[in-house]
Amino acid sequence: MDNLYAGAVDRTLTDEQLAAKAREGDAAAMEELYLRYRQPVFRIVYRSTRNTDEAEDIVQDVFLKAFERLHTFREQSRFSTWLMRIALNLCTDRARMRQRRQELLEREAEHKLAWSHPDSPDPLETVQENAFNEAFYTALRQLPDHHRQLIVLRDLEEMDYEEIARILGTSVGAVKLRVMRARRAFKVKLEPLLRAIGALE
Amino acid sequence: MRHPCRELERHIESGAEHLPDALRAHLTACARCQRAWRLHAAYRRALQAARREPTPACELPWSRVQAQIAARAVSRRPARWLSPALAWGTAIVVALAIGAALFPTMTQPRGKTHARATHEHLMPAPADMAHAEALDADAPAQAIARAENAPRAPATTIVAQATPRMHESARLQSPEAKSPPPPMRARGSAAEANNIPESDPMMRARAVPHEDAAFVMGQAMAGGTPDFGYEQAFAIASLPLTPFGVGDQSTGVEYLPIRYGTSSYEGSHHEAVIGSF
Repeated sequence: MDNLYAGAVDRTLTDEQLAAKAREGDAAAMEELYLRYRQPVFRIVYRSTRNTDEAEDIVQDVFLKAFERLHTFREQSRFSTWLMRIALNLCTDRARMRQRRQELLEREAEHKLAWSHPDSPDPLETVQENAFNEAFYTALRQLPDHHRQLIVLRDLEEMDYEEIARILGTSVGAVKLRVMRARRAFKVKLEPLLRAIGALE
Repeated sequence: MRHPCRELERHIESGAEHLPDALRAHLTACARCQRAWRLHAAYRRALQAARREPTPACELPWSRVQAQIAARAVSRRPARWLSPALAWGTAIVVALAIGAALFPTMTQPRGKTHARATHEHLMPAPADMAHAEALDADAPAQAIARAENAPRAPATTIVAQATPRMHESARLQSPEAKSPPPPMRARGSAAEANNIPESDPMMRARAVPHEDAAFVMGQAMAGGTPDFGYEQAFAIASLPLTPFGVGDQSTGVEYLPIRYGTSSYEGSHHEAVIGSF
């Protein structure tokens, strides 16, 4: 950490090479890793939180935790996988805290409902899509953490089963089974919301 | 197709977008499968909408994360002055200070000191005791004999001294003279001897001999404010004393405990002040 204000780093280095340099306190390597994974981590976190400020806070915590615990990173797995695991764990922690602030999130959801795509050509279609979108995220918030993570990783981020298995530290078969269960639980939550917007007519 | 419902379920689990014609025909006949397929289609549509929603760009700058990393690195650096020896030394000094502060209170039993202080506080002055004994000497011999034969509560502190608080307690606790007790006959004859009418109980009470002073005082206090000083002893506690008070059936006088001062945990009977009113 003493070399926190070092110069530029070779951008052709792999994640694992950068991680090795960052472990020795190379700030440039840390910055490069941060710039590479800031947005992917943010996207996953944002899918879970739907709140930009909160997602940025979590992203900061993810990288702080990652750089502090780089000595525990074993190069048997990919850096991105390891980073995503940290992100998911922090999302879970935050989700528990967020349950206490449910009312605030409800207001945020109402605000998003009124939001529309400025580039959309068809306002009616935009309204419908927003209604679907809102129903989707409302149901997603109602899911337990372990189900929500799988819906985000598999259905929203479209990660393959192998990658998810590596992130969660389990087998591909187990991931498939858990994804199936997560979808079933998700549909149970989603059905009344879709019915309310007339999507099941 | 043997089990179209199960087949449709498998298609839904695999995330299929379209169904084969055979299954599509089955949907028109099976309401449950139709509902499941509609839900699946709506789920897919909601999923597409969620995927299409643009994720905002993360605008968290590296400088902020870097500053946090630096701050944490500083806070994690161990303080140099806090060497293990110094830490142990500080802990020992603090422990000794706490022990020294607690030592005096630990060496002296709390209950005994408290009880002694209460006892000293309640004990009357020798002059007052002598006055009380003088009053006692004037009491009828029968009453004394009755009192001596009755069982006494062990280790009971008897305080026969009128204090402001006792006066007030007496006013509240002395029994009302609804029917005159037997000793009142003597008082009645004394009143008759002095030609005091029965309609004036206060005058009649003042006329009684001195041996009934305690009862008279109780009567007078029940009826109005007596005219004597606070230091004057007015009660003789020579009858059986218990923490709960006793009743003298022959005289109709009830002896009630008056708790005075702070009760100690050793028992309220040590502090019971009994007065005959």
